[in-house]
Amino acid sequence: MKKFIIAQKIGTGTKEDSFRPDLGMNIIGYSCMQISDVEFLVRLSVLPENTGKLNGNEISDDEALTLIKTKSPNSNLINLDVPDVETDYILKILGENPDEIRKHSGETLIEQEWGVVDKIAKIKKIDITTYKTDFQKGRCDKHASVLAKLKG
Amino acid sequence: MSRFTAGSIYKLFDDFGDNKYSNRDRVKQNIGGINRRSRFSTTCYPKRPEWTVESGTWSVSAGRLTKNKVAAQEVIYCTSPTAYGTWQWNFQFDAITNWGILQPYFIYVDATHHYFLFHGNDSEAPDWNFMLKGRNGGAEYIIINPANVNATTTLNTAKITRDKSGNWEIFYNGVSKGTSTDNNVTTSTYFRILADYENANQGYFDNLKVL
Repeated sequence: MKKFIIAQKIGTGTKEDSFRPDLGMNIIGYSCMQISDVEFLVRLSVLPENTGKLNGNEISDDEALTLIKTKSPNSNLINLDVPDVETDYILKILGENPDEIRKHSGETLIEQEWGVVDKIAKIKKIDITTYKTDFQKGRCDKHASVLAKLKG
Repeated sequence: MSRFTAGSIYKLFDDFGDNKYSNRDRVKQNIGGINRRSRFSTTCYPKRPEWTVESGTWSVSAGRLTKNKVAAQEVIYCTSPTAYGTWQWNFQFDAITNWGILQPYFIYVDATHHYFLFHGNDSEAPDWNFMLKGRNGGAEYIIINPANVNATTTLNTAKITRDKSGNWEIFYNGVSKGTSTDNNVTTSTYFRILADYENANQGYFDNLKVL
């Protein structure tokens, strides 16, 4: 799953201790932008069983979009995003190689994200075509809706 | 986003195919009775860079830039004014140790204004081998830190795109590893490669393309 959170800035800003969001976990994929002297806006990807270990305050897609546009008016939700580790995990269980699926699903991250859920849907014979337009806007809530449908 | 396509005119290209990093791709021509040196130039590869060793021992062999087994921070660089566009290169390590990196500063103004891609080879933290970082007048900060990029000894491809709004995307072997937005540093002077090995291993850099 994916989430937008506001996280406190940690680190001293040195080469060995870069400024970064305090997520409470070390091994986690994320993309971030600094929104103040003390905070980062973060989009992260995490397995559901690890969400309880996360630091930071979760915010909605609309709140995240407002913050992104405050810093960069021409940017959108797809411009602060990371690959979902949960969909890759599901694909592996189904015997597929997520990287191979991603490489052949388009050039950009959002195209590759759709390629992964589309592959899961095809294997499970679930129709998710009506979700495609909203999914490709990069919204976490739509991503969660598709995941919920795929997980039954 | 920019793409590499057939017939593209690269702003910078180097496959190290001449096994040189300096004084390269030039031939002597006799023009008007005077021997002159003319620069390498073709339609596809108009900008083969002239690399300068700032520190350390670097070499080019087997058509790739090689960082030899020296446990130190060492730098090689060339001129590159590109701050928006697409950057791509190959990198490889000959062993997985507990600290070995080749860190291209693909947008570099000075020691406190730059962006770089950390790619390394670390047996102690195998998930921490591919990160986009920046520095703008002071502290170093993480921009994209993806999961599931494990250390390998195979040839890997890194690609980065940045549009005029400061929207970034990074790719590892053709797979997107994340997007972010950062427009703090808007110019560039150099493309620099930092090698940083705490334990001696060997790294390779090849097929640089800037578009």
